[in-house]
Amino acid sequence: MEAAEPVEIHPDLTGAPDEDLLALMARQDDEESAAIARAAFDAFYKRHERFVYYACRRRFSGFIDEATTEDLVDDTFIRVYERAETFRPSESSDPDKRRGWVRAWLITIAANLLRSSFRANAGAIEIQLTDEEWSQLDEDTCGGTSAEPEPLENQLVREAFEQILNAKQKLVVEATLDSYKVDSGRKQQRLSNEDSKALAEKLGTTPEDVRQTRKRAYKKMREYVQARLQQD
Amino acid sequence: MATKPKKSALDSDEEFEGLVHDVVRSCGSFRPETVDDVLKAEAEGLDRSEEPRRRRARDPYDLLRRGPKGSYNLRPLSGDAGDIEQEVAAMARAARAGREIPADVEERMKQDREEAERRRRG
Repeated sequence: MEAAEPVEIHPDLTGAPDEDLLALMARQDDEESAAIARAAFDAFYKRHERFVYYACRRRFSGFIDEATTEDLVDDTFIRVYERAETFRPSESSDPDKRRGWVRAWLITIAANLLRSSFRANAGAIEIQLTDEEWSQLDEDTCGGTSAEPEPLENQLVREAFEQILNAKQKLVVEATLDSYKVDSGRKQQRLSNEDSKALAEKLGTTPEDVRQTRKRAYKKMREYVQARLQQD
Repeated sequence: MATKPKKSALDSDEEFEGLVHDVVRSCGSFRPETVDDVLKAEAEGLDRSEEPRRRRARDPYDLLRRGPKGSYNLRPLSGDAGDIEQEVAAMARAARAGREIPADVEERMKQDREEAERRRRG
């Protein structure tokens, strides 16, 4: 016997606030609320998909082509639907900022999905924003804040990362950030064989090349920072 | 009384890794988007973009039935001579933005130029 098609109901949610749509997506207790959740997803997707697509295309065009960008955007919305209960609403009363908050959250999920896909167990990774990432939606901490100017060493590392590394080195450094799990005690962990293999496959190279690329990138950044510090 | 020298992130590999981790997490390609980034992009008309797309947006109901893809193909990245030349040029630009090019940076640039030349000759 074929499985029954899910019930579809189509309430007009086109004018509902994002926070309400996400709350509806998060509440799927029975068949009716699940149908309303799908309708809420329909409205939410149609409202934001276009912006998220062009924002991702702008930000990730160096890494992925247009077809892959579309897959990434679709996956982002599916994750939102699956984990809508993890959304934390903005505290702002300004409607533009509230919309900006939701869109910033969506693009951050896309960024995390793409970065996580380089790892061996990408399918099992839960995409949820950390407390630090939530706070960064509201304020750009790249380059310091008005209250806390960026320390010189951070400035120089940023300068080295942006200006000295080539595209492959940048990607390897960014893609392996999570694999190293730097904790508050600054303990270094080795890149696992599985993760280096997964990233190597993505890059069409060998795990050894990934390790060497990363090692050389860190060495170059360190030499650059040391040289600049000696100048000052 | 002698003062204790200030601890630097350059003191050890672990400290430097930690610093790079923090900086790249907040400034790299996968950094969180900010509300200001979004508002600026909207003001630039990003959501009214008329750039052509490969396909139209999916039907949201179909998308939920399809489920996530979960894997994304990267554009090919190669560490060829072109990359090295780009790297050398970037290093030179960065060094000039500071002051005089330090001897060790200059030596590295020379080595990279030679390596690029070797690769070009095959």
